[in-house]
Amino acid sequence: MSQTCLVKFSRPAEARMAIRRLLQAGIQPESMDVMTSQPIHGEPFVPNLKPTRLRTWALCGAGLGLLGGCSLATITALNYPLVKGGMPIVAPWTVGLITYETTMLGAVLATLVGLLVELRLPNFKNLPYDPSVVDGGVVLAVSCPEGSRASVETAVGAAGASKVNWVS
Amino acid sequence: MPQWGMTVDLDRCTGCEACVVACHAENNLPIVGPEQAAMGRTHQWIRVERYWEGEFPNIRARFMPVMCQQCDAAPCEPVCPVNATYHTPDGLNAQVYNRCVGTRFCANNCPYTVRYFTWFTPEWPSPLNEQLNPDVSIRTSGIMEKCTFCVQRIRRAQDTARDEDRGVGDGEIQPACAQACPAKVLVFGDLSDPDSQVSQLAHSRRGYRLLEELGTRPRVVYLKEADA
Amino acid sequence: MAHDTAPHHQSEAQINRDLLGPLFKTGPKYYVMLAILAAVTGMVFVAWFVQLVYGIGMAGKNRPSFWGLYITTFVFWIGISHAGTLISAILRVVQAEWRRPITRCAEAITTFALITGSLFPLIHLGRAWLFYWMVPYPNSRYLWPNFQSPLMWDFIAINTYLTGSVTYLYLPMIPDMAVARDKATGWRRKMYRLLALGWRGTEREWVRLEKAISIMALIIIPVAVSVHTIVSWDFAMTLMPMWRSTIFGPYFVVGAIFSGIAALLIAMVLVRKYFRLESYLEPLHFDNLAKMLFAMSLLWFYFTFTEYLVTWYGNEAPEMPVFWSKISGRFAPLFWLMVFCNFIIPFPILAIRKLRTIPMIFFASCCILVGMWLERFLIIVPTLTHPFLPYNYGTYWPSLTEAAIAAGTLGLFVLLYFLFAKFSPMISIWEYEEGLQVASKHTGELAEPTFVGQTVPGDVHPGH
Repeated sequence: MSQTCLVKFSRPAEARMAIRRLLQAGIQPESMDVMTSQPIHGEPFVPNLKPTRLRTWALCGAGLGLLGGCSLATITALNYPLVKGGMPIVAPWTVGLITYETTMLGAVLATLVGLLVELRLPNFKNLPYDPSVVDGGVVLAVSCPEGSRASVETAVGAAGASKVNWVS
Repeated sequence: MPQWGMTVDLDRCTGCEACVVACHAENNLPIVGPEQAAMGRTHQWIRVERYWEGEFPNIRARFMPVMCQQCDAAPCEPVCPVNATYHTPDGLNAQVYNRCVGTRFCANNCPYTVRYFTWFTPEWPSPLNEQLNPDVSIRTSGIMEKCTFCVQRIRRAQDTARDEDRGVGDGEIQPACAQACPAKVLVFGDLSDPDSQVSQLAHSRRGYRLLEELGTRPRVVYLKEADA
Repeated sequence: MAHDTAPHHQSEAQINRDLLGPLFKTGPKYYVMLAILAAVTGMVFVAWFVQLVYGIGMAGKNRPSFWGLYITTFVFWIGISHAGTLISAILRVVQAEWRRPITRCAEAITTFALITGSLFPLIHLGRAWLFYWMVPYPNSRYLWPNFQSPLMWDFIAINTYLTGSVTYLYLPMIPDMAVARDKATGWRRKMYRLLALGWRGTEREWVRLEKAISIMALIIIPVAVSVHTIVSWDFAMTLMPMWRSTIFGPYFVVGAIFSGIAALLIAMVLVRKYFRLESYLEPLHFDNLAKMLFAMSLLWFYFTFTEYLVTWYGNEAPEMPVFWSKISGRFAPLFWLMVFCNFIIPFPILAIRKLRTIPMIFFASCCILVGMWLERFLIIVPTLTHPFLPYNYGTYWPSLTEAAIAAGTLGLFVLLYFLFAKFSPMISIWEYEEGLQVASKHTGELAEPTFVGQTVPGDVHPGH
């Protein structure tokens, strides 16, 4: 049975030190999560952070939009061949315009959907979270097996944790 | 496939506007009333433009009946977002009343300003409604309209000819304006038939097209006045 | 210009209080303004209803002026919508740090200006209840819209831009919704909980959110440019004199950014005053935007001058009546007022540092908005009233219904903005805090980024 604790630090340096100690104590990186009220620049807190594939999402969405827009403008114009002003039934300029807009629309929607999918949001389950983080500080959530409770407390205490809260 | 066209002999036009009246009657054009007319909302699918030339005492009035030129490269056709106007295979610029949503983009793009918009739904108080032409639909407010070369007469003549197993003869179709003109200014017919009267007149040395330099390729040929 | 943060450090708790305060506390002045705005907005819809019932003839348009106030105001609002996204996105891409307090105001302007502007293609339709025929949906009547029409391009482009700008507004709002959720009570808490999507601020979340926002910024810039270009092609694709001009694409985009920055400055001045955000929206921000506004004013003048010079020099018979009607004819008073408002008044105010104060910038921006609306009007109406065949020259006077609807949309826009200001912090909390983090790193005081307001041994300037 694993237990989760929420540890509050007042500075990112303290949190980094705690994570180093916890890694030395044998806690896996996947069991640690760092929460802040703003993105912290510098090295990632927890190593082995999975890279994001949002750019791929956006490009795929753009590709789908391109195909969709091109076929929409071309195929439907050929299905309704009305002569208008002596212009060709399928004009590359107008097809190009419509395609451009649908490409961008596809990229926008894919980015949004990709973000939500990668983050698994919306997520209203009660995941470990300390609301005081919005007023500053860093919150580290650590999941550890039953027996390691003491070593976790030692490690984070040595790094300067201001508050340790076992939530489960 | 006939290619309909018209010639307008400016040498013969007296500016009497019988064509305008006939068009009103034939196509159920609304009479908008004095306030709306003052606002500039009259409907005149064919109108006689009058230009004064010269200074007194050497003044001349020049009359020019202008109707939809049924352009082959009509600038009004590509700009309608709902495909309410297009070019028929027999060369007419078609306006589909029940498709029009009233963006008025086509009217903005017509260099001849021959498109007319119905701003308020017209009313014909009894007994004026008895005079309406049953072959032509009534346009309610928000719909664009213009000269159709009396397409109802064209189609009727074509239907009759088909029933009688013959082709349409030259001069058999007369739009209301051509029929009413006392000076035989307007001649309508099949431009693709080299023997038709309109074809012969269209090749006249006096012939020119309105705003030809814009490249709209209108199907109405104006015949200049003899001493112009 | 380095952001001198040390003496201005607010603690995060203070920032949260300052920026979330308006969400939870509302004074009577707000309700009075809200009532006025709601009345003005109601007038718009009442007037529109009258127009729908009696016919589009209730507007003052006629032949040959088939377009008038509605399309003018449509182009005006779509132009203003270029403020937010362009400023916010371009500044983000070039990593200009001073953008941080401005982005939320700007993105909100974009979204609401687009919503307000997109009403007009509905309002100006002759048979507005059939607007859905412009949507390409499968039907059994052999009907399809015409993709060769600039109005269809408008439809698709504006929808793309609206989707993009709502996304671009919402994504940076998510962490702020989380802060609001953590501070709110009652029904507000439930609402923010829903909107925060369960955001916790983990490292994974931040990395992905920032990536998504930077991708969106790169996408939204070309979309914004294309949208106003396409709107300009409603005119440039026609044959009409002085509309058939290849310069319209860039001209309109420049005009859009110009009016957009002016609108943003007005919004910022008012937000700063009424929400007491003087320590967040500093004179630096107004100064920088004012310099951008000055550059756009010069650009606008350059494009306008080119357009008119080329027309005059070409001396084409259909174009000269339009030209002269604007320079010295019936439209001359409006034309010269426009030049005055867009160039002559803003030039000294924005160019001379002493005059570039916040009240003067506000005044210049208001003049610019008036001038830009007039510019749209003067592009549309003189051309339409002077078509090719002189027999058809006409005049145009807006009707009361038309003017009520067009002017009332200002009330609608401000109403939407007003409601938004009570719903989301007008300055992006996390971006602002990130900016203080970056700035304190750059001043070199500390070896490592720290939270503002934290006292560090050896720190000479402690925070609050």
